[in-house]
Amino acid sequence: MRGNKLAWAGAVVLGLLAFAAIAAPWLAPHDPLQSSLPDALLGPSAGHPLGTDQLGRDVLSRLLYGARISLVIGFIAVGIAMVAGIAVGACAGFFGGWVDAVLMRFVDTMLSIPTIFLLLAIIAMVGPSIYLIMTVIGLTSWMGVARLVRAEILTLKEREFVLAARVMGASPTRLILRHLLPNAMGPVLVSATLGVGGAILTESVLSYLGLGVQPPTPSWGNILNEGRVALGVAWWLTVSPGLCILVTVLAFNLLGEGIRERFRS
Amino acid sequence: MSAYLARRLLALAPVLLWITLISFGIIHLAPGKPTDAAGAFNPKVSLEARQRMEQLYGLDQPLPVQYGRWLGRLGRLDFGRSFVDDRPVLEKIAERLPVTLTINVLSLALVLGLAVPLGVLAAVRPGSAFDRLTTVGVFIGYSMPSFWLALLCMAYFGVTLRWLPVSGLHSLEYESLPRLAQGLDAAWHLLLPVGITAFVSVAGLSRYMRSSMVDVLRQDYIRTARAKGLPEPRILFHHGLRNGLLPLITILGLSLPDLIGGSVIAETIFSIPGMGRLFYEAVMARDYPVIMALVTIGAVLTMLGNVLADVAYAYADPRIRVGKAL
Amino acid sequence: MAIRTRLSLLAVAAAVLLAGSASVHAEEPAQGDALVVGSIGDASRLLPILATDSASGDIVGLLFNGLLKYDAQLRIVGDLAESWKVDDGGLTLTFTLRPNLRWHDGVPLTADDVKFTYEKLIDPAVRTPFSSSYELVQSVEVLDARTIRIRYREPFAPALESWMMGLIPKHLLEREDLNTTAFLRRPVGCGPFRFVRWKTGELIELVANPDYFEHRPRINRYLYRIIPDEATMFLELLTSGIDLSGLTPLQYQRQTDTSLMRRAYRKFRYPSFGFTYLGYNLHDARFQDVRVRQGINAAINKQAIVDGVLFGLGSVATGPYSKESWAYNPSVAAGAYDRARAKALLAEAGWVDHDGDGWLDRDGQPFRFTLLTNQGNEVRRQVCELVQEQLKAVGIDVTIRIIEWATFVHEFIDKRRFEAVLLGWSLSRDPDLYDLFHSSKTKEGEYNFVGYANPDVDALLERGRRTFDQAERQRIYQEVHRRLADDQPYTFLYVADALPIVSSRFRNVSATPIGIGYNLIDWYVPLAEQRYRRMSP
Repeated sequence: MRGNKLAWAGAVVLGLLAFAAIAAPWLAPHDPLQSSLPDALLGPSAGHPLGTDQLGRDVLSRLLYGARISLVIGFIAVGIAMVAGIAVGACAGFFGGWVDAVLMRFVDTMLSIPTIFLLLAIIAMVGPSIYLIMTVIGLTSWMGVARLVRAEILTLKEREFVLAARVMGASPTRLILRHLLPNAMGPVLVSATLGVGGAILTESVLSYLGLGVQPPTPSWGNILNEGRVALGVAWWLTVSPGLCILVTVLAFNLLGEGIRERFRS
Repeated sequence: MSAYLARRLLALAPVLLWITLISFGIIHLAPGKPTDAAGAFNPKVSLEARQRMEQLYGLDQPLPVQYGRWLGRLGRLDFGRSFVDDRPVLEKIAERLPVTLTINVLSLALVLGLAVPLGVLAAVRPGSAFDRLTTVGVFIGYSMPSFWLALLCMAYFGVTLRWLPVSGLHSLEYESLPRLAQGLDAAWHLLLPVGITAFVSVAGLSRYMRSSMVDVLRQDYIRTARAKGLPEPRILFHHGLRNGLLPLITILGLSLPDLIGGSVIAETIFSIPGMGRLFYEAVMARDYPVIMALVTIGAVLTMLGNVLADVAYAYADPRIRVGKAL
Repeated sequence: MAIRTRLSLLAVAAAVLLAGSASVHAEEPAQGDALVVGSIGDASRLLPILATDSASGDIVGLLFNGLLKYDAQLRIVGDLAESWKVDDGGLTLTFTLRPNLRWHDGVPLTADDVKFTYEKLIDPAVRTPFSSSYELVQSVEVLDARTIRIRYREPFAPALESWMMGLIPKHLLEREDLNTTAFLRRPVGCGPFRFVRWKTGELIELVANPDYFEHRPRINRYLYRIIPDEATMFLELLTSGIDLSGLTPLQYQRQTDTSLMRRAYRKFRYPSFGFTYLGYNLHDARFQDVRVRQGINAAINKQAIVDGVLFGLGSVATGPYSKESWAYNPSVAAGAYDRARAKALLAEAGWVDHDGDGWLDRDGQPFRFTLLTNQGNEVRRQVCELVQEQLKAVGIDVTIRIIEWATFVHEFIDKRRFEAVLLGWSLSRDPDLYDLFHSSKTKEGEYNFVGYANPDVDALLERGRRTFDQAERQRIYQEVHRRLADDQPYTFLYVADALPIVSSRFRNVSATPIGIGYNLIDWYVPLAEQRYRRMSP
């Protein structure tokens, strides 16, 4: 199947990425935090395959360690969004009535508050840290999942196997956890996969605004941000982190699409 | 129908109130005051002078009082004056709105013009080389940080090739140009911002169109039409597209608030004085009146957009399909 | 005889050559063209007494004049004032305005405008933050249309600098609410340029004032383009979208060296007014010991920071004054970079690596602190990272935390919730440092947030403000310089250079201690090289 080919390509890329991230300490030719001012802004060479940044740090090493940060942020942010979204959506879909009304109002309210405003205000309040960024990205993206889960539960609620389980006296918790949710996982999985890509993009946007991962810890977003001002003279500082983000998010998106196609047929 | 509409609109009021309350709370929880830009860390400005300024802005009142005052003024549709330059908030918004609207409308037109045909063509021939190519193409657009693309385009087209202006909305000699030249000048400056804004959205929408059309084309009534011997274009446009476009209505309705929302990053990079930057600068400067105004207007538009989308959908499709189009 | 003739012939020849070359270069400064300046921020209020942000300040400086100003060599000279007198040991200042001064709308500028400006500066209903410099004024008397007498309750030497504040027109503003008047967006001043229009967020346009009392500026127009992104600003510079901009050290050194750039632009450098420092919370027990502060001072290689982060475009600071300031004390030596001495000083204070883990410790506690700085300043961040590395080498563990500005000021500085900060001060030319180092200025929100209290320095700062005798002030402030270097309430790091770049088509541009803009009205572009001709004059 066509869809499968692209999805497999995505999966392979992600596998390589995960490997690179885990093996970063062994793969990286230099210490990503070691600055060396005389070597600032060197172009790609044998010693520095992707050049150096303004403080003389090796870009390739920083990208490898940055992969870890980006992936961790992506997965945990999405994890938080999934947990929150599934909980709210399942309850709303299953219990219906006023529970549904109240919860969906809440979702609508949260959706109406501009994300950037929440991000700025919260991060400015507490100070940017990796944990905060993950939490905040998660807390601003759970709403879509909630709606999705609710829709699936509503559809599944009326199916025979659920009615059967009900007749047999299964408790609501058991119904939700054992019967409904597993069958609703399709769209949720798609959403999660796409969500990781989205979280990585959001981190790069936050870094552009100065609210992302703080240096000297490398993240693709902040390497991109730092390299911006040297665009005229050090193109590798802009092109390489951007390409990393592009390829990674693309892989996640292709994989997600592939999963969606799978669940369709 | 009208009763349904009235009920929906009425239900919005308490939500709106909640949104303003939460926003007010959040922005005041963030440390820092609007008077910081003027007074903080400027050795010429004494502590007493700063405190006096805070008093003049009413910032020394307790929070519930400040919120109550704001709410009262809102009732008269008075959004107050900006703390940054004391101009009426609505005046500042009105100044920036046209630019953002222009860019967003043009971008939307471009997106629709590209995404719909792309999606339809891909749906008609699923699995073909065309389908695969366009998939990867739009996905690349969807997956890249838009500001990265903006910087690269600006550097290449603006600096290396000198085909396009680097930033800004008008040339410096704009005022002395004849009418036609003025229009061309403005268009030339908008090329990159609109293009990049559109590029990123084409992916999502064309995928959506494609999946919607694929669903539609699988339906029985399409097979019936084919069996009846109707010409293929007629099937596609008359039967297929009409139904395939329905989810688009929802999307358009949901994008209503986005029309007035600008991308702060695109606007910063291209030096465009739009709504996105207005909002970002207001948050950074703790310009409470502007922030509250934009959040409120945005919330109203979002909710209106939701209602419009639901109503339009219900109007177009009598069997309201709950929960499918998400 | 022959030699003398030959020499005199040579002399004559030389004279002729010089005269010849002089006449080749002495061209009449041409009129015309426009100067396009890039700015990150937009202005907010175009009124001198309300202009708090730098963009408003830039524009206001071209539209309005004050009684006095600094000349190229940082001496105080008359601007709108033709002459002034300081009497009664500084209790009375009398200014005489130049004759025939006019506002841009033709109305004469008189001493009434001076009094009006003062009244609005101290008016509690006007949201001006600049009132503190005028608090000691007892009375302002108009003696005649061109003379004004200002009496102070106490002598206040920085007062002269405070009268560089732009004057505002009484006839246009006396019935207006200054906080909200339309004048803020359509100002009328008396300066070398007149206001044309302001497209919010995009552009501010000024045109030359033909009746300016010195002479009409040679450049016809001044265009202030708002470009909020540094990367974009630089690209605009590369494509000649702007003619003047400030450069970062990196851009100055590495990005503007192509032959194209060198032909099209001229770069300048001069020491900026202010310094970057490492400030210690003097209430923190560890930093109360002067040996610890001196030890850290010795552990930091400031020259390496200047060379590395500033690419050499700056100089190491030995105290709060730059070399250009008359208050600078040349005999104060920079704390030499000496790691061994640093370790020795720290050891004297009890900090030794007892447990061999690489970090200094005392009473079982490792020497570890958080260094705070504000977000948005790339150079400062790099300095933090270097300081972190250098202190690691002597066994001090530094964590860097970068915080958004408003939060930084409110939650950390004002509430004294910090251990050490890396910041900079941008100062006025008058060397008075009362607000920074006097022990009375330690309330929440005031600027002696490190908590420095030295009664000798207090006395010096008080005396320095109250005398107008330049020689005595110099002695006083040089002593302050020495004391601060000894006490190290800050470790003074460096004074950065300002790095403006200007399109080479502008002539008469030169860097002086006050900068390059002091003679803006004399800049001109030869007719053949003028760029912006299509704009109406």
